[in-house]
Amino acid sequence: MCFKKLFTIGSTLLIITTNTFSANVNDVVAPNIVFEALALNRDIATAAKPVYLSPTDLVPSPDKTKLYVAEQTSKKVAIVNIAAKSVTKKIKLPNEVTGVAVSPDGSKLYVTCSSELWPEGFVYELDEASGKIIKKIKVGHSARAPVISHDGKTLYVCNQFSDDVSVVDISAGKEIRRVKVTREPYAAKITPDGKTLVVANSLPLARATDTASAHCDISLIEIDNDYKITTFGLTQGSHSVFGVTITPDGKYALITHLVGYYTLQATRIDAGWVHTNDLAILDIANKKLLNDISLDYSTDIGCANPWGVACTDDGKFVCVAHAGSNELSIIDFAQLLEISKGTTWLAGKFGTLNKTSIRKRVTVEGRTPRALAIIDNKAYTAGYFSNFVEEFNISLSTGKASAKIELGSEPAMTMERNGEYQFYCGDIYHCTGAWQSCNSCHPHTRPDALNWILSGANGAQKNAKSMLYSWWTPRTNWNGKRANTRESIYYGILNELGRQPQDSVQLPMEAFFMRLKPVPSPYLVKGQLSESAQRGREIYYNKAKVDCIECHPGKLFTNLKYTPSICNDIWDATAQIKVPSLNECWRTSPWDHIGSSISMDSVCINRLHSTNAYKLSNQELKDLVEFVLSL
Amino acid sequence: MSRTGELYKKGKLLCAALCSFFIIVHADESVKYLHFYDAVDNSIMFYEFKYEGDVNTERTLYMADSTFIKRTIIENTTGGKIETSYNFNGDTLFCSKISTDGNQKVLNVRDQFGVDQLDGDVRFSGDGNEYDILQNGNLINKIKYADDGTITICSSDGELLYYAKMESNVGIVYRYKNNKIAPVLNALGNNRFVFNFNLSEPATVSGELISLSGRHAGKLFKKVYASGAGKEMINVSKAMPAIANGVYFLLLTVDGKKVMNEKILVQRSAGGF
Repeated sequence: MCFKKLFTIGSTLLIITTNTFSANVNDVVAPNIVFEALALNRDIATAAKPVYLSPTDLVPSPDKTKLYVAEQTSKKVAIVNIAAKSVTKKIKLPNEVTGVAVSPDGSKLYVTCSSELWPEGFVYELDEASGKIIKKIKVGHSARAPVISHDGKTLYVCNQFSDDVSVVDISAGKEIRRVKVTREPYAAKITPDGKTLVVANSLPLARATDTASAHCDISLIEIDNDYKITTFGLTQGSHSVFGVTITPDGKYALITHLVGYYTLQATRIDAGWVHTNDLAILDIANKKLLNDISLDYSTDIGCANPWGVACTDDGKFVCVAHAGSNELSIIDFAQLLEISKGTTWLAGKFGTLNKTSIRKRVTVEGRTPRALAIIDNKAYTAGYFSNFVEEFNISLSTGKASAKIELGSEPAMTMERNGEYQFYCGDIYHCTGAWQSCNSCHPHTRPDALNWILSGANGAQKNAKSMLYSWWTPRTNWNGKRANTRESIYYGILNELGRQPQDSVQLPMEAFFMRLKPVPSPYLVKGQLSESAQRGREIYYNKAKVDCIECHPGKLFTNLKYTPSICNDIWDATAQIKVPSLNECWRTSPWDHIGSSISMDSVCINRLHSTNAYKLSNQELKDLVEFVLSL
Repeated sequence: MSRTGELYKKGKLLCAALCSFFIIVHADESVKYLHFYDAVDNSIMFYEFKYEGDVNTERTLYMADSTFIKRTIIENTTGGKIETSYNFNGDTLFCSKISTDGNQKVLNVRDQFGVDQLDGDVRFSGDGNEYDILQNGNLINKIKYADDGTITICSSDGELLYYAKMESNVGIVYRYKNNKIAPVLNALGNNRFVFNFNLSEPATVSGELISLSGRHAGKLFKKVYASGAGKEMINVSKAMPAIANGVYFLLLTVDGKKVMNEKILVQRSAGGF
């Protein structure tokens, strides 16, 4: 009895004890601490960061009755019943949703998640019926664009900032291999025979001064041949390769991208003077780029920022979502192919698709449509800055959406969100002729890796700049030509978009730039400096050893001063260059103001750049570079 | 019941009671971790708290996979608390001020440039267990503290959005031991070892070499691991290239508590490691 009582007391106390923490608990885990963590991670809404939906991927179910919508910033997958035209379920994920794939039998969903705050990529295997997470599989940095093999056994994931593709054994629930590709893989598709994975690299990896090499690559990965890669260069100046699809016969890969005409001084924007908006056709079997067709309508009217692309099952039509001009192109593929087989290279030929018998342009209500899916004879798009899906009949006589499917309510845009939208929008209200958006030269607000000759530059080319921290490091431009971001935005709108700047556009954009934050570097290990980078940090801050912090001090790693060129600039030999910030430089190659180097090692030891870094041992240099690329 | 059976039962009860008291004795400890989950139990992130004496001076935020996000240093000032958060390089990310206005706590978060990260002060009004969270006069969330150490975060209309669970230092070690998944150290040759372990909760795992005389010879690793099975490859040659030949103790700790102390032989080749 005594023991029983003791046990009862003990048990009671045990419960109390495990449930009760010391007296300072309310202080340590005060409500503000709980709230702050969730608010800054954008899990709960604040006035600064309301929760928007941001649909970014649309994927049909195998039985064609449903559409899966990746709602990126709400961290959810919405399941849309096509017949009922309504959302039947939303599945919550732990991080931002960047892409969705469906198992061949439709029972499982494979969702890639990563965000700018938490870029470590994961694939979540979900039970479609219950919405429960079954498996969580670690993949690479900024994972996106999941593609499932036709037998449902393997998943391929583009790791945008790891510059590789993860091969995931689904039944084992783990990544079994990484396949290195060129740079920033953004989209992928598998051929109908399951033998080849076509991967779109979204940025060039080349010295910008090497005009012959400044283009994006398409990687063809032979799945059944030990993942052997064949790489194709798209048209010179190609970048922002954001969409890929494969024709149902498996013969062609269709790839959306921009072509920057960076060797011309940017004095006008019509007639594709700065950018054309293209669809490349790749002959997969013959491993040959068949043609690259400008999707722009005429010399006066462009079709900015082609993004999502898809084919009808019968191969008769190909559709392209234009995120800049807010349009959908419906194209007769047989005619397009016939034209493409001709001898004329069509990248800069306008009017190829302006015949109504070949292509129909349809205005999309959703703001900046990136995602596109086709089910039978219907195309579906969703604007990234909207909260609905639009349905279109696929026909050359289609004039408007046939239906609109609401995804849920969304708060009004904040100034920052509005600025983000203004940045990505390139419709006729934002750009004369809808040729381009701000995103055309600064994809995702970062550089396009090309050199440009801006108006009044007297022929001197300069590498495109990142917008990150531009607000905090005036003056702007490489040579400090503009006083600040406001002035840069003003002249950007005026000169590069051909519009008279309005406060309603430039002020929100300024707020957007002001709040940009760096993405954690893929060189970090679990968010922290690697051992090599830690050693490199010691070197970086050692004034006796190197002179890094003379020009790159402080938290922004710039002294905001001017310095003579650190490279041999034949176009502007006496250029005084404003010292750039090093934050996120892992992402901004090619480096220096004319993009003449793709090796950070050589940038560091260049004697025009540093007077003593060349004295470092190989290991010290490696460590220093590791640190710099971790910032 | 036989006398033996009676004794056995009493023995069991005694053990259970003693075991309970064991926890009671050690349970008056501060919160070590706070784990965040969404409403469908997805693990999102966690805080690790550090103390000087009884005073919480620091906390570190990790995502669910143990990716480091920020380290926050807490200062108590006459005007309230000032919490400064730093990134992996020790550069300031955010500065939060927590002040008191009447019966409300007021939170203001600014980034390193002074930009308000919440667009307006957030106010907390409540009685110690339930708080209303208000911004610009609007109720935006509710936070409740339950007796079992769970904190729930609900929308203004009461829908559960997220919850957080506290763990004390003792809780983790207790469960760690209770899991009965013993840590294992295996030699791989050439001064290389693999340390396999299993954590019921995220914890800091560290390894160091101690000389036979008990002198600290050097640090091998110190990392935060997520819950579940973990593995650390130890390469003594790489971590401590200047160490002398000899026998050492390899001390492995979890959250500062010793879990293994293995004797190992460190051998240098003629040309170094």
